[in-house]
Amino acid sequence: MQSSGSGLERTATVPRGHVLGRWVERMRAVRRRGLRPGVAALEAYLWAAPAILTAVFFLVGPWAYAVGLSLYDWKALESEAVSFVGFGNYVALARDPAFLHSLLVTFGFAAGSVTLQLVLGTWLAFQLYGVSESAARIYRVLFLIPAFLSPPVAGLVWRVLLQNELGLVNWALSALGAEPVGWLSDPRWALPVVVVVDVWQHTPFVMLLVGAALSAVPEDLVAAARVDGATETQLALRVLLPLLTPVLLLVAFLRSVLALRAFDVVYALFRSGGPGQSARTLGVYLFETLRVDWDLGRASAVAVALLALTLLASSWLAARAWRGEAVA
Amino acid sequence: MTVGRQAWKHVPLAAAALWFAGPLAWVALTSLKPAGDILAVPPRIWFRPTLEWYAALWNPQAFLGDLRGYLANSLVIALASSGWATAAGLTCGFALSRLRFPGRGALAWGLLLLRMLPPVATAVPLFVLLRAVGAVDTHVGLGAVYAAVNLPFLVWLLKGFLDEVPRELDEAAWIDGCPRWLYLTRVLLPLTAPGIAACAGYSFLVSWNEFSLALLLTARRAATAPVYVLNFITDQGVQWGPLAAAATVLTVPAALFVVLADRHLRRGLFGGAFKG
Repeated sequence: MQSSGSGLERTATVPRGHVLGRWVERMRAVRRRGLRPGVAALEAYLWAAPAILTAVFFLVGPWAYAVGLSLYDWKALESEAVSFVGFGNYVALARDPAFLHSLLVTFGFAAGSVTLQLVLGTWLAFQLYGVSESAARIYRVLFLIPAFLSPPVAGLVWRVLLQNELGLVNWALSALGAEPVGWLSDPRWALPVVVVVDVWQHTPFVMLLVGAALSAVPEDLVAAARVDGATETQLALRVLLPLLTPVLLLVAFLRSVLALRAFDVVYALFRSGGPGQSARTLGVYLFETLRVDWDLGRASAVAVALLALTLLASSWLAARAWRGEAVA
Repeated sequence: MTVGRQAWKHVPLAAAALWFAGPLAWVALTSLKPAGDILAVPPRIWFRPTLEWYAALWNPQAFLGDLRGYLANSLVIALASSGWATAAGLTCGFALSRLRFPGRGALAWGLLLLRMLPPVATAVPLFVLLRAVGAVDTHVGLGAVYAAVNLPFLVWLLKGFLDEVPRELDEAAWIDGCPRWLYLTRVLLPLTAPGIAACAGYSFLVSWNEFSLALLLTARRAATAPVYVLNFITDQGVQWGPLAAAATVLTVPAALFVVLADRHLRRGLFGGAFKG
């Protein structure tokens, strides 16, 4: 902040060089620089204290505690006896085929749903870019309601549509002459159904961020491309899309980090890992270890694995997305 | 540009609107159908609408029906946690936006990191901790956790809104000796009120919608509506009528938010939203 730009400096009426002027200058300098460093820091941290304390007590503390708990054997259903086992829980996890399968399911889910969300969301943003603002507003409302819906509600909505015998989707299929599909009971369809519901809910977030970036593209640039004879497709693919790359990377990163913890959609649809556990993500595995087996030590180890995965994904993609670009 | 060409542009958008809003409309329609029509094949578009399923949600005698207690839990927990998160987020955002102090950058990036990490990973230790102090299945326990889950993203959002107020205003006020808290409440707050309201609304919605932690940290007394609605799916069968009615009721806050916050949504705000 330059002091010369301040309105106050310009309206000051004390003559230059006057003894009072020098005093006023000094007071302003102190004010501008703020209080003495120690006092200023104390004041700032007092302002931030409620937020910091809440986060430390209910997020950072528990995470740290989870790391500690993961080193203990604590099966709450059998007894309250707790014993130190070192990395025993992690070794057990690494040898558990169900855990490894849940990792695989999680990655498959993340890859499928994030890719679809990116493609569909970007396409939607481009479609909205082409219509008037008043129309875009109506579409935005219709598109965005699922995005701000509670996951169980989203799951229930799709259960209504995908019921095996009497649902709308299977009725439409049989009306078209196709065989009805056991969407919720066939192990082959469980994961695709979860992906569809997730895409239904979260594509609009991609559309929001990409849409905002699109409308920030200077109009001159678009006009210049049109004058140079670019077709609409060329304009989208050759001019606009390259400009959107940083946003797309950022969105891909945000959505992937979220997909890693997928639990609520699966649980709302199946109340388990799905038929034949074919949709048991890491989140569902964590839930079952905690609430079915009551194995608190191992559940903590799963939580730490989830934390580690998230940190890994964050650092890798964040470094790429943030190279030169600010965070949204 | 001809009219025909404009209309053609709306075809893909209308299809997308059908894909996103259609399922919700169908469920809302289902919630108004009498029992005989809900499972009719082929699906019936025309029927005599009934409000019996909504009435059942309000009826303590209904089988599984009574949603009131759970809606009240949701409302209390969401209001309290979003109130606290907005207040604490505002003061922290104020410090980050207006004050210079050592560790400012570290604090901002630390909050960003917290925002990335999965809150559900806190479930085990929180369960143990809350059990130790007898706060499992209490409103305070879940509300405090929600406030913490909301805070990191909210601080960034609120800082963004505060940053839009020119800094010249700070200097003018502070040289005149205006105390910081007065400056925040009398100058910054009125100038950024719409943005802060949107943040508070968003935070309310996150708490209202949250499912994983509510499932793990509550049982009956403090169970929220999203946890309860899954009970409509029983081993004996699915209560389609109450289920559709409850789903429709729970959708209302989301629809309100999307309509009211459109101005902010258009700027891409909340696009990086993180749910619990």
